[in-house]
Amino acid sequence: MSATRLIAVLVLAACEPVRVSEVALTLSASTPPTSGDTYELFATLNGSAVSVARFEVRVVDQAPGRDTSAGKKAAIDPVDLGHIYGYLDDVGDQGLPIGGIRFVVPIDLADAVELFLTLEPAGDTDPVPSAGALAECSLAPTGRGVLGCVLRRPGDKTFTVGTAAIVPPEAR
Amino acid sequence: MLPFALAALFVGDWCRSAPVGEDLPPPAEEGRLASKTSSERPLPSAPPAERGTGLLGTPPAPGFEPIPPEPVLVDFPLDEPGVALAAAKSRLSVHASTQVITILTAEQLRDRGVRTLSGALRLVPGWDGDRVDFYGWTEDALARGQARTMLVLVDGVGTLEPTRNLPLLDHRLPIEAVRRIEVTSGPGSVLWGSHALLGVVHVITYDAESHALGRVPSFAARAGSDGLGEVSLGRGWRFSDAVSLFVSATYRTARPPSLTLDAPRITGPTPSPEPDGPSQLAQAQVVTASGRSHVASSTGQLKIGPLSLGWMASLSREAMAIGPGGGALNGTYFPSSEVQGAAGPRAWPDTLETRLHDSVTLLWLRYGATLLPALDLTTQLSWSWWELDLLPLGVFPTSAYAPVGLRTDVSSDGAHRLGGNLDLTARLPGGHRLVTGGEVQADMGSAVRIRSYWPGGALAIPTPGPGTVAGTTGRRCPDGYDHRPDLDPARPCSTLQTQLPERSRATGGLYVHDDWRVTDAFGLSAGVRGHFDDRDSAVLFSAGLVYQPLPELALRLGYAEGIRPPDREATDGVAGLVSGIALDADSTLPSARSRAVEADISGEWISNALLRRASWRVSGAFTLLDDALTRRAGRYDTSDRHVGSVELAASLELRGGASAFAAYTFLRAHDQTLGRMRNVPEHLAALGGRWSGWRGLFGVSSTLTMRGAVEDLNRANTLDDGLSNAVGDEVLATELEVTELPVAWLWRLGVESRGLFGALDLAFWVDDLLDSRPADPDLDFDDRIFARPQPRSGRSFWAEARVSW
Repeated sequence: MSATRLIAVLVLAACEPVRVSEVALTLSASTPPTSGDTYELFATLNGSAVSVARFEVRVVDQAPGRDTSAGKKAAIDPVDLGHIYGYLDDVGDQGLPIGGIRFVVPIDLADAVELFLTLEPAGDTDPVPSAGALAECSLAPTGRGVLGCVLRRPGDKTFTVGTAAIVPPEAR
Repeated sequence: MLPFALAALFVGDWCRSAPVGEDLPPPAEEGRLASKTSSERPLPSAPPAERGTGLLGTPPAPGFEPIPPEPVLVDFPLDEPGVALAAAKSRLSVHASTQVITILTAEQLRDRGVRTLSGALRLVPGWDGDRVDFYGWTEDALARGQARTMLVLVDGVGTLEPTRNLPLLDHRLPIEAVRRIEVTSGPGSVLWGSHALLGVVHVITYDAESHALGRVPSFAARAGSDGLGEVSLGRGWRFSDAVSLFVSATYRTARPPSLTLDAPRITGPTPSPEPDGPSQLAQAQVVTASGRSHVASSTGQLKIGPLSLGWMASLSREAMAIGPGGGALNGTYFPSSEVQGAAGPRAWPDTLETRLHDSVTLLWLRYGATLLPALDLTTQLSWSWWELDLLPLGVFPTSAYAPVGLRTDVSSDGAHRLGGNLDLTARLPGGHRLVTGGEVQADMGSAVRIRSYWPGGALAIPTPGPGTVAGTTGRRCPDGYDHRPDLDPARPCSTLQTQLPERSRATGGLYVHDDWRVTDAFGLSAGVRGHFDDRDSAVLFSAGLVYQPLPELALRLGYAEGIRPPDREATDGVAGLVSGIALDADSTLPSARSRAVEADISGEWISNALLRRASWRVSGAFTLLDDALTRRAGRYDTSDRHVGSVELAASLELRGGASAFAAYTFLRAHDQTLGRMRNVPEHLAALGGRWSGWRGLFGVSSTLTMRGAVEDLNRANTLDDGLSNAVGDEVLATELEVTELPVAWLWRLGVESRGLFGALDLAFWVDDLLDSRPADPDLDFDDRIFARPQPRSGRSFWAEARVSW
């Protein structure tokens, strides 16, 4: 079976391999927690909204291996609640700042022009935004091979929700 | 006129010089290749020359009568580069093997100025040696662009340190004691068991016989830049036909190169499972400074008849100038009164340096005998011991965030390995060479403890309460920390925790492998191994065929498998450490598996003409890696990968000792999670040669290596938003950068004189002559703590003298 799989992969490898992008976020500590509802991050790609990631924000209780971040808000997988994507901006127990959320998505986001964040109701599984954006930003090349932007509340450019960066499959 | 004069001397010297180091067959008549076979056992791979033609198959001249194709028996030189002594578990011509085996002899290592095993692997097609990670704290070599995928054996004893699964590649292995290196490319677990995922490196050290016959220098001294000093001694004794002893000793000292850090880290996110966070960069360049590193090594073999007792021991105390997080560990790291004088930082005291104690001892007892005319037995017992302490381990220097810097101490009672193996080689009727046997090894790792010092300085908590220290007006250590001013008065709060629990592991296997020489021109091989360890069991297969339409041409096709259990750090690491310096282990990680299909065509020409030997090889391979170990942001996980590779190799040896070699590798690696592996170079190349004249009194050696452009993911060194504070520049978790590391050219040039006064050799070498200072990407395409590439030291030099008697 293993030799057959090897040959199959050999053939399939001649096809275009999956192109993967990394999405990094920071969210301010004022971002409200959710329970059941999920935040969903979308990218505008080729004129369409593409779902990039879904996560809940919850306060992480003290747990083995997590005691230094006890009481901090974390972005967690809504399906696997033990999987933490990262933490909202805060200060850790040792007085050092914490913050940073990371997703790896099997989508080529090199041509994405915009990111926006929505709050989806509990049980919503469709890839279409069902509500207005909580935060949005226009992506632009940073000159360092990534796309970046500052997430702000729509209609209020002084209210910064966080920052975002996309590492495309190939450096720009 | 001068170029013509030099050319005349060059050619004239070839014509006058006798070949060095081997007995040649009688002069070949025109149109006939000289063939060579072992005086001990005819090589199955060297059938008689049937046509009396050259490599291109040109017919003999009219009137020429081909000489009957009988092989001429001559003694093989002990360091014959076409014969593997260990890579196939018995003596075998590389031309006849279904595996791709590259051999580097001691002479070749010396001709190319190689000083470490890692540096030698840089010259082997398909391998990328001299790769560092963690800002130089760990060293690895990549096989087909993948880290942690090779098995390194010294005299048949595995050198992978069981805690981190790191092989022995650096100065702890004294290159002066190395007789030859045999590199098998591709999975090799059927013959060699665990960890032979994408390659096997056999290091064979000198014994009394090889030392005496190979004219090996018995004393060598070396001095160079960065305060380099090195001395090596090697001596063999032959007490009788059955008893001999060889001992070598090497001592090396040097300072870590002084580097300019353009944006050293003050603090940064500690590895997962700790939260990510911003990095703080210093707002000014820092030039690193550090004390001396010391390495003392010894190898030896005592032979009494069929019994051999051997060892390789190395004591290492390595000074580090940069912490694993990218912080400069110079005089401002320890701001205690012992360092700070009235006028500012004083000279760097040895006792406060960051030192890595990374010693290793290998001891083995081997019995080898011919039981029957066609049956050989080899059995070996081995004991290995590793010491690993970081006392202290500096992480970050002093800053407003960490007024006394971030310091930890890592200590353990070491790790031990007991091993035993038995191999039987039988030459059966019908052209079969059957190798069978098995091995078992037990790893015993003591607990690794980490003492973390509160970075906030003395008694940071101002509120009274339980644990208030007398006389401190209500100040106490934070929860989880003990008040221990006896350990470090500048950091009186510390806590001792277990980072890795004590752990034992057992691994073993049974295997059978058959090489079947069907005809003189065609051979098949097949092998199977049953592997077991305390986590996994597996059955591994290998198969291959070799076809030699001409004696000097071979075509190979092969399939091979490999297996590698995850290391202790990946499965047993404790995450809940108050210091935050922990790795997110996963006890359920499976073993990594490799499967490769390989095709190869190679040729070799041997003659008594001006061109003594020419060889070339073209190989292609497609490799699947299942559950390859990954460690992004400090979280251990696995991912599937596939690698396509093409390798080219060629070498020439000319009469008079001149030689040239070339190697090229094309790689394309893909990770299931990350896509194309951008930190793996697509192109690797090496080109070099050596010329000597005036009967060896003057020689020039040159080696040029190229590593193709790669990309590395990092936190930015410059800020878009100009965010800065009193401490330094704050770089958010989203301020990422895909650092493009350009093509790296490394040129090593040496001039030398050999045979002065009959016994003295002198040489002067310059490394990185172009001062290219290449930087290595990290091995996980990670932007967190371990990750920012730091350039190498740049141009360096050394002079050496060797005396043999």
